[in-house]
Amino acid sequence: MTTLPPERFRAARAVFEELVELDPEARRARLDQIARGDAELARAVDALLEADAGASGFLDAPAGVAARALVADWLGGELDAPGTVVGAYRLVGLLGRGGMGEVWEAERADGQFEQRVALKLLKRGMDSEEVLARFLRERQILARLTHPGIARLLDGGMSADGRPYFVLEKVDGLPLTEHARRAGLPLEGRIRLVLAACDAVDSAHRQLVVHRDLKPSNILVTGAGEVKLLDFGIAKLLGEGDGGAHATALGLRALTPAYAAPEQILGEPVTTATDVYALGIVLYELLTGRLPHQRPTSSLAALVAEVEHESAPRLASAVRQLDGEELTRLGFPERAGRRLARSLRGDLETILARALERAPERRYASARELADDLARHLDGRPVRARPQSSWYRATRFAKRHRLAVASAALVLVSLVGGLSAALWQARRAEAAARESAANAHRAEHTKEFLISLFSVADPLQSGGETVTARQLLEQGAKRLESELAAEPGLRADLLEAVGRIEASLGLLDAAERSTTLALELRAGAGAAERASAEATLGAIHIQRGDLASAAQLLERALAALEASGAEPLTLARVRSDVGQVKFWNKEVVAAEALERSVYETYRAQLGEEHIETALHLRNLGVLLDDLGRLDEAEAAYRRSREILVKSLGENHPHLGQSDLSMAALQNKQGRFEEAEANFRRALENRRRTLGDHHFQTGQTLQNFAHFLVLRGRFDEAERTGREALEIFRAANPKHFEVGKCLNGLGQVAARRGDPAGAERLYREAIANFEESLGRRHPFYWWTTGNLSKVIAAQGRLAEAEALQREALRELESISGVESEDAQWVHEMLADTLRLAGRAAEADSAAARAREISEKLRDHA
Amino acid sequence: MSAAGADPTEITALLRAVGQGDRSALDRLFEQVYGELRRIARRQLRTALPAATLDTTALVHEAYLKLSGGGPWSTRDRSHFYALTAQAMRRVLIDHARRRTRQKRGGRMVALALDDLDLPVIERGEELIALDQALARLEAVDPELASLVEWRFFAGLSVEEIAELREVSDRTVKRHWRLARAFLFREMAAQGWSA
Repeated sequence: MTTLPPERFRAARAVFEELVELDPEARRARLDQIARGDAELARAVDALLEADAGASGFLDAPAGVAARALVADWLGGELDAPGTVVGAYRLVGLLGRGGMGEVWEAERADGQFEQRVALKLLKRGMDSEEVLARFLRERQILARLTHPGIARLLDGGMSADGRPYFVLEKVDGLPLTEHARRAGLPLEGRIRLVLAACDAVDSAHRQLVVHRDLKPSNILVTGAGEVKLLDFGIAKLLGEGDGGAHATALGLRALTPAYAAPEQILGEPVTTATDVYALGIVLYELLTGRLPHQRPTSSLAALVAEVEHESAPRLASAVRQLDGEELTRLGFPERAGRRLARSLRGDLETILARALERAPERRYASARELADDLARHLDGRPVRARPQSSWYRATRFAKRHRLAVASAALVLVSLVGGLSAALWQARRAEAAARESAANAHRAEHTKEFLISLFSVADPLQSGGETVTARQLLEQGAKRLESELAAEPGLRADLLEAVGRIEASLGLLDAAERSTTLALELRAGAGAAERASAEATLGAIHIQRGDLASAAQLLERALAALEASGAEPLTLARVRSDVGQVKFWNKEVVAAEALERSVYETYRAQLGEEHIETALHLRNLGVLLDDLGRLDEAEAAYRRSREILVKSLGENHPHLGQSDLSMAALQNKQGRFEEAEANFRRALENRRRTLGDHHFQTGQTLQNFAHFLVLRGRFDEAERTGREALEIFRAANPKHFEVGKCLNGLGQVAARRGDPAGAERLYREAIANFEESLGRRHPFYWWTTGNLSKVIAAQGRLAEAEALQREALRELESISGVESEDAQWVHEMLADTLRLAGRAAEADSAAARAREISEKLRDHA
Repeated sequence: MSAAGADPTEITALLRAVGQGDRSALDRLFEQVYGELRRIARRQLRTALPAATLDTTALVHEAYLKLSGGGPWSTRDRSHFYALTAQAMRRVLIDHARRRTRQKRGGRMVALALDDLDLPVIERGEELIALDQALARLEAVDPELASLVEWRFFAGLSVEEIAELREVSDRTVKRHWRLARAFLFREMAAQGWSA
């Protein structure tokens, strides 16, 4: 209830007191009457009356009874001592102590048997009727269960001071996760552990017993490798009511948050599928060393809120994130990651998805069914579970990792570079020539100039070094001034072309200068005349990260070109750039549609096997890749490469780019070995065709380094990243690629547990981005976000928080209030606040992140 | 104050001072009552084997006898005293609930492995704290109802005892109790606790 102010509450209280003793009809009549004068008051009273109806029994037991476990614990309720004789047993040592019971290791007092047993004894002061009932119920349930996988009930009775106890087979074992780790069990061994647990759980299910609290500490593996289930303390007999046996004093539910099925947390009926869910979590944990969900334990309210927002866990991606160290900690061989992730894709992922479905009726109905599918998987037979669409929707919602400022996608999507721009420019000139004989001269000059300049300057053609290309461009710019001063139209064409090349080299300032100059030279011309230069400027703004102004320029250019009936390829070229803006704005679906139409245009105009058609097919692949349509993306990459090889042979830089795209895709699919082979092939291509010091060699190195970071191969990652950094620095120390490299190296340091080193690198990266891209570019803020994390890791929480709040503000303005970027920062902020002990604020930041994530998913 | 307990004369004087609005007397009195409650509770649980639960009612009455020295107090004094005792009882339980909840947070995995033999992880400590917070919200709008909850739930006084101390009818106490309970029930539900 939004709490009323005191004077309003007093009014409500008076009415409540008047109505509470009336019958429902009289109440209703009186409430209606009040509502006419004061609707708010009537609502408040109505709500209180409703609560009164539901609250019978609430707080009936005084605190001393309701909270007895707590009180007993506080007062240090007497412990039994070793040596005490209970029934026929002598207590040897305490194994564990809970709120109500103690579990002792015990031996026969008469020395008849050597065998040690576990004796569960009610704690002193705990023998209320309810607790007794629960204790006896556990004993009764255990008596039903005779299965080698369940700790056996041996005996039971009453101690001398009148407390009940029962005796169980003592299990010397480790929690199954711990056993798997210590034994270094391979995948199959881990699955077999879960199979054995399923078997035991199934035998309980057949006795109509649901365990309700399965988790590693209750599933032990003995020295002989046998799996044993323990602790049926909150088990339930099916067919009985949910009963008070597991309810807490104020009527709440008993559960272990991390392993509880949604229906347990939400208070819905419990079935055998509830145990299936817990077994699914245990399996997930065995395979990844992690829990699929981060669930708060602060309150049931927080837990309920979390569970209502949980999405399906993703096994393969969890495994992909494991680094060598984590794999070792899990007991896998350090280099098993790639193979492991591959074996987890497909069946196992599907089986887990089925076991972990939110709705119990969509899960395996029993432990038996889960076991059957696991056995089928091990035998290589087809499993029964089918992928669920919700599951796939969730996996498709692949979150772009901000640490991956240096990720392949950025390179992949920088669409066709210098060469095609030059060709485009030349074609545009040819078209102009066809239109008017007067322009023939201009077209001729354009082509000549372009050929002389670009045959050497375009890195894709020359294989020469970027530095040389820059010098040539500078010479070209001078020549433009001296030779063509009298022909502003031609000079403008050429400036535009030069601007394109400069942009492809990352010389954004120069590119913008050239293009702006071209536009100025066309100041008097019509919209159509200016359109191409505007489009070029738009493309430059994309690289600057200024998407708003890029979109404006490109769309204006496109409209003008469409209105003037420009030729299809010209339109397609601009559309492709518009598509790129959409890609960056996360309108990937629209981008894909645009790029598809671009590709179709090229195919119609130039033929399917034309190089440029193939390059646009590859771009289409990039977008499909981003949309998670990985099979289609792979087909596009393969076809595109095929065409390129046919025309260009293996020894062309374009092929390197193709291999890089494929590597990124395979990395995403968890095909790490193939991805690595393609990264290496791309790198070799770059070194061979462009040289060791070429800019694009640097980009390839950088992508490979990022891959190595994710694989946990930090030494190789650092070496590779440093090589890239040196290349970029030599080419242009102010290029944003330098910043990306520094960010990547910061990531290596952070992952290695060196936050101070990471901080230095991130700060250097940020300084670079500030100069190269400006503070409006997301890279600046992404890296700021990364920085804030390592600052928080050094305990400087206030500083981290300030950075995060600033990043949030800026990214909200750049990418939108409900963007992935904003979600990411909210998540970081939640972590920082949690570290600072500000739990309520942390919860609300986390809730905000979730809310955004939900919305984004709904829109996806 | 000696370990053996408080001097009844001093308690009576403090009570009077509290009646006249002396804040520092209230604090001192509260400390006395708080300490006495803990002592009695410990003894109660240690000696009564096999004990039932913590009998807060008996506890509060015993504290009364001890602190008043058996001397006759006016209804008004007694009422003050019980209000204070109920508050102290609330504090005793909530303080402990908080301590326990904090302990749990550190080293969660280990704590779970040892501690969840019987007790659920979401346990009474957190429920009690949530109740305490709901009660604080009730206090803000209606201190009288809030104090009733302390008497009834935390101190375990019966409707009849409360009616006598407050000099109202049983029926009035019951009506007030229903309202207070409905309020808390709604507050707890709004925080996601289900009853």
